[in-house]
Amino acid sequence: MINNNSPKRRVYIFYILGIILSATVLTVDIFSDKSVSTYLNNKLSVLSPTPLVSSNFRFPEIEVFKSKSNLINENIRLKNEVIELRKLKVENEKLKIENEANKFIVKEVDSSIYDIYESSIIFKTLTNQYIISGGENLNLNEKNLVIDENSYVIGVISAVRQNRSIISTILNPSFSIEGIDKYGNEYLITSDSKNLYVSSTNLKEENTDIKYIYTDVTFGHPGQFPIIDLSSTSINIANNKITAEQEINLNINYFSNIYLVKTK
Amino acid sequence: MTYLKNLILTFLTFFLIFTEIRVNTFLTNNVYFEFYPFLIYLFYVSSKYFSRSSVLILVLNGFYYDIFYTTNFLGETSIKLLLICIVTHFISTKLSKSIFTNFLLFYICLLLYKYELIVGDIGMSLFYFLVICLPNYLLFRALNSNLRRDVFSAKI
Repeated sequence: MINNNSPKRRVYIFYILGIILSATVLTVDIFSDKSVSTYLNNKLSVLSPTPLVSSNFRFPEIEVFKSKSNLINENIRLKNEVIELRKLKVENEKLKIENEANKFIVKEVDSSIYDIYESSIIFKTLTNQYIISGGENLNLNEKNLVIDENSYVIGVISAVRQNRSIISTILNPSFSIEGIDKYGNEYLITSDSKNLYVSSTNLKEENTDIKYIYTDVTFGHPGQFPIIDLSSTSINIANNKITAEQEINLNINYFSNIYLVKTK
Repeated sequence: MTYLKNLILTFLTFFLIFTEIRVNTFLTNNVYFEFYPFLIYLFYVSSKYFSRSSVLILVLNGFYYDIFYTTNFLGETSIKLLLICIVTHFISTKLSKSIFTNFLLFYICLLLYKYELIVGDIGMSLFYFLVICLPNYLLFRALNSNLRRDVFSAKI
């Protein structure tokens, strides 16, 4: 049996005191509406550097084989030129793809109403949330949308920090978003990380001819961005309720093209 | 000297969290491989080095995690980390020291560490966590066998 004054028991007491300290800070943060954590986030941002993706990657210069012979020099010069041209070709291809994606976005979205920012994934947290670049510096707010290159909604901003935001994506099991269809029916779309579940909350017209469910300004999001395409999904109507289920076919990774949408 | 050691250790563990999140971001496409250096540290603290000096380090690490990487209120992760330590240490004192029980304990530690995901999706396969657990446990064993040699107290 452990003695009351045994060192092990004392260590447990220190751990419990640590929990009490954390609980106190937690209570203060809850009642101050996260002002403590926001303040510390702004002041201590140096402790969590935002990694920058450099697009100016340069191959090392080849200067090892310098010799007196002009022929060798010429050979090296040509080699460098070929490397440079290859680099330019790769960059050109990348820019072409990016340009195509941007054109598509601009075509789909009325850019006079919305600000669209290209963003990138910085971190994936333990709870499968993603931290992306762009935050208060872009005047982003909670409930602003995250869309992919086809302008489908893939997530919603759930917290905004100085130069980054935490997003909840459709791959998150606790994700939910309200939407509306072309008949004005309102829906709640939830996720279990594998499937999206559509369930109507306010039915105005019973019809299975629903192609898209969109976001809407009445729910606090920038309006009319497609959340889900139900054209190839079976839609059920029962008890004055429309339900549907669709498998999520999305893969988010460090290299995904994502865009942030906010109303001007 | 003790304060300096704890301060350095705190910053090193901040770096562990940063590394863990950064590496796992790159590994997003590999569903069955995740790297948890901070969990390894946590398991080491709770099973081998259960001392009061670790309390403040864990509290600060929880704060660090909550401030920069979650939407949680400040302090939630600290409570989680301290509870994981207490539970893991308590179980480790009750179990035998065989490699199997040690692995089982590491697995329990991982489940507690990722409890938000399990609570969010009860149907989530425990086998998935078992697969993730194995390489991390092997890494813990490898590091542990090196850390056992106390280089600071060795006579020259």
